[in-house]
Amino acid sequence: MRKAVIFVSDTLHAVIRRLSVAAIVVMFCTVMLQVIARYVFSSPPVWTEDVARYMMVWTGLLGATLSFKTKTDAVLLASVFPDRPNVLGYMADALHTLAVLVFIVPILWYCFFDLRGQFGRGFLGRQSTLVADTLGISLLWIVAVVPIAMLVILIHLCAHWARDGLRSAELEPGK
Amino acid sequence: EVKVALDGPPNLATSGTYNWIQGFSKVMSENGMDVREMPRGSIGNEDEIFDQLSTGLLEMSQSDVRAVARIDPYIYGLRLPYLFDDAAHMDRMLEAGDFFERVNENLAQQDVVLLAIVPIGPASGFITTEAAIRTPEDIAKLRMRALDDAQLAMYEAWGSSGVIVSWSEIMTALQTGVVDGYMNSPFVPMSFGQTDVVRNFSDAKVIIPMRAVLASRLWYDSLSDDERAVVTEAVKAGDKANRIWLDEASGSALEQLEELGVTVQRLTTEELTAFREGVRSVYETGVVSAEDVASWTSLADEMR
Amino acid sequence: MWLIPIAFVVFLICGTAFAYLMGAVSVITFITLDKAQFLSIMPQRIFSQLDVFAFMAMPLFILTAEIMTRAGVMRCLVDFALSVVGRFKGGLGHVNILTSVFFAGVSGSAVADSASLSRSFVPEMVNRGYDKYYAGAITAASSMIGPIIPPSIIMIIYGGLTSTSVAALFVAGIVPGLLLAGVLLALNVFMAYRYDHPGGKASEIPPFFPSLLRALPALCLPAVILGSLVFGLATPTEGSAIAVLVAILAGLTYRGLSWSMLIDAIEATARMTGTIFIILAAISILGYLAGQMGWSEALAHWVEAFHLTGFRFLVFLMVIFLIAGMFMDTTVAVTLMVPLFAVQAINQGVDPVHLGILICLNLCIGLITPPLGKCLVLVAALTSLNYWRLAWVAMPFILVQIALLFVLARFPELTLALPRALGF
Ligand code: NA
Ligand code: NA
Repeated sequence: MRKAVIFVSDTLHAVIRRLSVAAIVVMFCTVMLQVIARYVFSSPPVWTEDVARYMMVWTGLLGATLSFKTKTDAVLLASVFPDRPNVLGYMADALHTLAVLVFIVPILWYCFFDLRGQFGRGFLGRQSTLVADTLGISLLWIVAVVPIAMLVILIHLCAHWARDGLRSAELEPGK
Repeated sequence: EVKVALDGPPNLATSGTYNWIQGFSKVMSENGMDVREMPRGSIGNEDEIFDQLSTGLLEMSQSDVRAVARIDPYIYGLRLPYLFDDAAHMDRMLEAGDFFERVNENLAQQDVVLLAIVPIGPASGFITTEAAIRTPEDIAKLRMRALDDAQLAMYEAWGSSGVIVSWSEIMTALQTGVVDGYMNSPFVPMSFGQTDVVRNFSDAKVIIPMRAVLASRLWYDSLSDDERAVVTEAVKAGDKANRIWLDEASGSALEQLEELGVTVQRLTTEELTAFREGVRSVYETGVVSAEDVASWTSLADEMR
Repeated sequence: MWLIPIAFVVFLICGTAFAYLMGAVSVITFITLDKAQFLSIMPQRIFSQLDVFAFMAMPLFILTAEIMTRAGVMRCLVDFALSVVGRFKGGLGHVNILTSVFFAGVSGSAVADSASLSRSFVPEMVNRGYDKYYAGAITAASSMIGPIIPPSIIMIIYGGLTSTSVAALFVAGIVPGLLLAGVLLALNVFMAYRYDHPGGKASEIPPFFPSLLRALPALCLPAVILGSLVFGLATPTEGSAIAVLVAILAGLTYRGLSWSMLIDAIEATARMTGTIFIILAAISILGYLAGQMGWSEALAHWVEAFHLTGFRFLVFLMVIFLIAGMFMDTTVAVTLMVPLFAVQAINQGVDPVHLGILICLNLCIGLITPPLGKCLVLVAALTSLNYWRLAWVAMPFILVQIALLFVLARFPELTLALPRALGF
């Protein structure tokens, strides 16, 4: 089970590294297309700005999972507690986990559920009936990055604890 | 407490929507329903406000017409160039047709109700840096800023080219010559302090710029019959306050521009006809379906 | 009610990343104020507040610097700076500052500059007889020219949060950036005579034209970006894409940019954009809370009670931002403080472009002021120096930069004349 969680987390990390690279490449290409189209064909296609902007949001939110996994997020104050395996270190880590959950879980919940707890009437449900201006596709495909990124962060968080348990189990055979 | 998201600065002199809300609030508070004005931006942008109406977290808003058009493009008929002769003509059409019933039927899927259509100022003209525009040939020489596909189609109909530029970059675009001008109400360059840069206004009266007053269906349906009657009464009062302001503003807007040193082109009926005929082809671009265009135009002729 | 400050402090001392700290505290505040139903706006709020036109230039400018750094641009810039000012007394100090000026046109952040110069250049200065603390201090101090001379990540975030034209901010940053360089050069001359720093031997100075040629791709970059903005050929976003293109071409000419280096640079860009965006996401929730509760209006009334206007109001703001900069990372400080204070200042009649440049310089000074000076921390760590002693040696630099900040606040024309002359 623990190994499965770690495997899923690592695989997702590898996939998202490639996806975010792709998002930046698409963003770069559409902006370049916009420049070229303006001066060469004198009328840029209307969709380039929207595609580039949505790719930026995808880059940023997928990138947030990368920085979470690699622990490169900006910290206001480094933990004042000793590192694990000191018990205070575990406590600090648990509280840190709590903070992440308090922030992420409501976002994820309200992507799927509305205020009365009805499934399918959440953020995604409401967006699925709206159409993106110049692209003519459902906004669902664009805003889906929000729950995807939040879900991946939660999986990385689980893997963080799973890996930890695994190491101590290996260190203390027979337990 | 009825929270209303405002769409701009609370200025009675220049804002049509703020005049509307003042007329609306007066009737509401006289009947014991308090209105709280949420300043523009304080609870988010257009999309966020619409989402909060959907979920019932916000009672009312003054929204972009686009918010409605994303569910039913029928409302874009209001922005067909030269469909209306003036605001009174538009009011007669909205009164006579089944506009509100039709739109609200479709808005129901997002739990939102359309209460009113509010002109934000006198009819739109061309606001340009250098060129004075009197004919479609004048505008054909320029590169104009377009808000969206629909405006782009209009410029192309007049033989001009458009560039989509976001509003936050428009000052830079005007100053550096990326665009030569844009189309909007005469109050816009004044309230955004652009009169040092844009030197010309051409009163082409293309469309009536407007906003949509939306309400949350959850809130609207939760009202008692008496309360809903008060809201209906207040909406009428808001419409009235707005049209009184609009009449005064239409009379003085051009003079105010001239006082700020902007050259104003007042077009003759023949010149307006040239613009009207030139842009006729956008009725067939499909932004609004052919069927809807037909119903809008026949209604317009009926009410003329 | 007590839960809110307690949660804040507890999460803070546990080393919680800023974004999750602010996000969690905002959620807890909603719940304790009995407004839990408003949490349902979170997904829409986050998407809308990130989906901002002005932010588009950010990833591409980060990418430009990542590519340039990997392609070894720093060495070429150092050589060119050496050939220009290396021969003078205190020459390597001048070279350090001048390199930062050149690199500023490539990079939007100060941290990248101090990281690469402290690794390569501080040991060289020590070999030539400079005090290692002075070498570290001047590296950290001059690195903040980076975000003042365009491109600048701080200015992009500020532009997005206040709807100020990023192009105007970029153009406005040029003169203050060059003034900052001038002030630092002057201080270095003074120090060179006071502590008898060495000048470069003529034999070690690289010849001017070959080194200029090699540095040219990097030196061209700001000209390309600014040129396209000033002549209205491109928006900042388009400028950033062109910059990436130039960086790739330059990388090919420097030492052969490989595919793996390029992919590596893009991935680092995604990660860095991610750290900024998750902060913007968390702050957007706090911003909604402030809007619902009318905190901005309350804060405005509080500030109004001081009856400050004009320059004195600016000084008041600068002091607040300086204090914030001492304790916070620049991204964190700009996302948190600008929505609270800048909007009011702009309502008070402060020019948004002028204010943006002041805030940018202000928060950069925070990068070299203890207790948390990110560039100082970095330089100290990379060159094995004592952090507090380094901060002490950097003090003269900090003081002249603060002095420059107040001069720029007092004379808005220094900042605004260029953008106005160019029609912004
Ligand atoms: Na820079
Ligand atoms: Na430096």
